Parts: sequence; structure tokens; C-alpha cells
Amino acid sequence: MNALPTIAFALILASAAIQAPYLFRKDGKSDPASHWLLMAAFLALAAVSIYRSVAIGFPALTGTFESLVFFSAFIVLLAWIYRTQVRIVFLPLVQFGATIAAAAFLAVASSPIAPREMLAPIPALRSGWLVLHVSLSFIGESFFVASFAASVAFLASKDERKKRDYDRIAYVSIGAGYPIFTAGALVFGAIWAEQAWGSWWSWDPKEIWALVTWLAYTAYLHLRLFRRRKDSLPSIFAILGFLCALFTFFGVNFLLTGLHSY
Amino acid sequence: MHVALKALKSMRLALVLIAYIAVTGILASLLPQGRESSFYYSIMPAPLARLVLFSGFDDFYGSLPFLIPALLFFANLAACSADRFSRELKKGKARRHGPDIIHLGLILLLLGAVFGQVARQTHPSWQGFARLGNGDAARLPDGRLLVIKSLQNLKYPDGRDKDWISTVEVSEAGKTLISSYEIRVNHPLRMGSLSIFQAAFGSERVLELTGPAGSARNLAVGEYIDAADGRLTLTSIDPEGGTAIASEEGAGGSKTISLVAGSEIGSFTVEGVGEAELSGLRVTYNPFYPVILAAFAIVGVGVFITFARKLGELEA
Repeated sequence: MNALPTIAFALILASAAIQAPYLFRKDGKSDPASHWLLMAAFLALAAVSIYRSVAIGFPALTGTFESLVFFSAFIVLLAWIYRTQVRIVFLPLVQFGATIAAAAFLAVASSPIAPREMLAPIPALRSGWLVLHVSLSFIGESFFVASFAASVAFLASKDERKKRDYDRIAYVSIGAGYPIFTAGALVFGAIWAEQAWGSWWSWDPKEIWALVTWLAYTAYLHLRLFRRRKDSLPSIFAILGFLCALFTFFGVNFLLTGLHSY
Repeated sequence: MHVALKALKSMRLALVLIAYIAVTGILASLLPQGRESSFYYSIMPAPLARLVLFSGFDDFYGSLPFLIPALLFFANLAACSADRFSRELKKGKARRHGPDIIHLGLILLLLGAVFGQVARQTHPSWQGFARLGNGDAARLPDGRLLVIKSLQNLKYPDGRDKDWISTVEVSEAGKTLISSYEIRVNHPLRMGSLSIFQAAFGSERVLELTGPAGSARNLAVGEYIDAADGRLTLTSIDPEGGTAIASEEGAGGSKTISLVAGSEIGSFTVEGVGEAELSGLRVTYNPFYPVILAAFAIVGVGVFITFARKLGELEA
């Protein structure tokens, strides 16, 4: 079981290696196999999560390693879904960006900053609200990975047709991820905090950064939905939002102290 | 007036305020909040520390640079929502009320948060923290009496804490209101506007006493008991020697006495030194708890309606 995260990491890297040459093809043809490697990686990571959940008697979401495994699993699952769906135009660069992000998060998971020790959660973390809070936050952020890749590609692209497609992918990803992130990070997080500590909101650094992330995506949606802006500004907000989401997880955990320092 | 109202309900203002709150929030998260002024002088140059203290950035979320924009954001949100709602009403069948519902939920959330904060500040004595042992009683702010019936510290096989449970009884004027309720971590006792949370658990050294009818009583450092010659307050416990030191305040003045197993304190006899489990219970007062919950539910419904419809349109 200990080898499964490494196997998943290797599968994701292999998938990225297969995808890479196809990014430069002019005919837009996609590779036939990389998404199945992503599915295999998802199954391996899901097995890790399930095994650890059974071992500690609680959903394995309460440690840095477990969170990163869950996050990576959802990113590769979304990349697979995105590759196999037929409703939205498929852009290889978005799938590639998500694949690299999943590999990067798994690389962090294998580093010393994410201990692999299997520990059952402390009393404050034994809550159904916490499970919803963490899982939905990461699922929402998995969509933001796709929006980040699409927004970077939007800013880098000069082709108007491609820009339109990248904009649409970013919009759909944020449209799907935003309500999930809102429910997980803010609503269920606040409900859990109130049940555990008697306070909905404590202006803790993690809370502030989650709010800033939410505000960045709120600004994106207001620009995109209501002002109907399709220029660079919404993409900049989508990129800033994802960078804030990254800092909320890594920066606050390792650089700042607060209530979320478990 | 018209110009001011137009500016107040503009999305440009909303975006500027969102950006301001986000940027200042980021800066405030990087600076430790609520410390002594000497702390800021110790970590930054004096002119910068003076600026931080003058601007209120050391307690940013209670300062005017945060509260004024937050109030303006609330006004902007309310004005935007009212304006948007009235425009949507005129659209007939093509109306989209999802964003209106989200905004209504957010307004309710902000109102609940503000009024909750005001209620807590106007009732400071209605909140607090107490460490209670088995059999201890505490008077709640609303006059009810809470008695600890039993304490449990559940452990994992590796010895780490799994859950802390305080089983309590609540009564009022001698009448039992709640005969038995388990307050656990993440499972508070709610009684109207009061909530009681299992916040901590631990043990401390105590002097074990037996009373007249064989009743047991523990005395921790700082606690007192009324003895025949006056009030006796425990000042220290020596676990190695099994002794304790107490000060006795009586009509004849104050004196220090040493207590060992067999010592008599009024009608009590010292049995020795032991350990007693203590439950840390936090009491909070929030009469707007249901308002906040309702606001979350409204935001949830609004988000679902807005995005389900939008994604449906995209797929079409």
C-alpha cells in the first residue's frame, strides 16, 4: 500500500509525457492513452484514501499527506472526465496543466513537509461537517486548477478562436467549482467552527485567505457573468484566485500560525 | 442624491471594495494581531510600528480602516440587490432571482454576524470558560444550574485522545430541565441563546477529602473550604511527599498550615494527594444563531439556482 502513491505519481508523469508531444500538433488530434493512465492514477490514489480511512476509522482528510492525495485524486479524475466528455471543446493544454498540477501536489505529498504517519484525528476534527468542509473545498479547488490552466493559456494565446475556447473552459470550471468551494470552504467550514469552538469566524489566517480566494472568484464571476467582460481581466482574477487558493493551503500551513495548524 | 445612490449601487464600487478587503485582509493576515504595542516596535522599524498602531492595523478587524469599507460594502450589496431585484421583476418570464437570493442570504449573514457581535459585547458576563470536575456545579448566566454527572476521556488504542464527554444535568429553581446530556467535542448543548461547548479536557492534582457521611470532595490549588477556624485556601500540593500547603484566614488572622493524610479540616479528613479529571466547558451567547443558519441555507439555495441554471444554459 505504501508504494501506491509512488505508482500513481509515475502514472501521472507517464500521462504527461504522452500528452506533451500532442500539445504541438497542428491538427488538434489527441493522444489515445494518457487519460487512461490518469484514471489508473485516480484508482491508485482512491485506494490509498480508502485504506487510510479504514485504518484510522475516519475519512482520511485530516492530515497534509491525506489532503494532497485527495486533491490530486480529484484533479486527475476531473482531467479524465474532461478528456472523455463531449459537451465542451477539449483543449489538450488544459488537461496537461491539470496533469502537471496533480503531479506537483503528489510530489509535495511525498516530501518531508507532509508526514505519512497514519494518525486518527484529534477530537475537534472528528466531525461530519469537517469532512464536508475539507472534501468540498478540495473538489472546488480541483475545478480551479482547470480554470487556472485555461486562464494562463488564454493570456498566452494570440489565436482569437482558441482564446474564446479557453475563456469558456475557465468560465465553466469556475461556474462548477465556485458553488462547491463556497459550500465547502466557507459555509460548512463556518458551521464546523461554530460546533467545535462556538465561533463562526475567528479571522484566523486560513479563514482570511479562504475568504480572499472566494472574493477573487466572486470578482471573476461578477466581471464575467454580469459585466460580460471577455478580455484579460477575468483571466487575471482566475489566476489570482488560484494562487490565493494555493497560499491558503501551503502558505498558511507552513508560514503562518493559527487555528488550522494541525 | 441620485448620483450618490447610483455610485452606491455600482458594481465598480463593489469590485473596488472587494479588492480593498482582499488586499488589506492579506496584509492583516501577515501581521500578528492584537499584540502589545512594544511587540510591533520589536519586529519593525519605529516609524512603521507607529503607522501600524496609528492606523489600527494591529487590531485590523476592529478598526475603522476595516469597519468603514465593510459597512460601505454592506450598503453597496443592499443597494445592488434592491436595484437588481426591481429590474428583474420587470422582466416577466425571463427573470433570474438566483443572484438576488444569494445577496439576500449574504445581507442576512452580515446582519446576523453584526448583531451577534453586538449581543456578545453587551452581555460579556454571558460568556466564559470553566474547568469543572466530576460532581461540580456551575451557575449559568441565565440562572440555571449545570452539574457535571460524569466525565469521560475516550482514547484511541495508541493512547491519544479520541473524544471528551461531559454528561451534565441542568436545573432551574430546583426543577430538573435536562436530566442527562452528553456534551462532546463538536456536540454542544444548546439552550436558547446559550451554547455550552466541550472545549478542553485535562487533569490536575488535588487534595482528596472525605466528608461526614463518607462523601468525597477534591480541593485544587486556589480552591477553598470553610473549616472550623476560618476559610482554608489551598496554595500548593507536593505530589512527591503527599503533602499540601494551605493558608487559613480566620478571626485570629492568617496562618499557613501543612496538610497530610489524616489531617482534619472542619468536618473533612484529608485522604491524600491524587489526580482529578477536569472538563473545560465554554459558554457562548448568540441569540442570532438561527439567523446565521438561515442565511447559510439561503446562500446555498441561491448559489444552486444561479449556477444550475447557468450551467444548463452553457450545455444547451
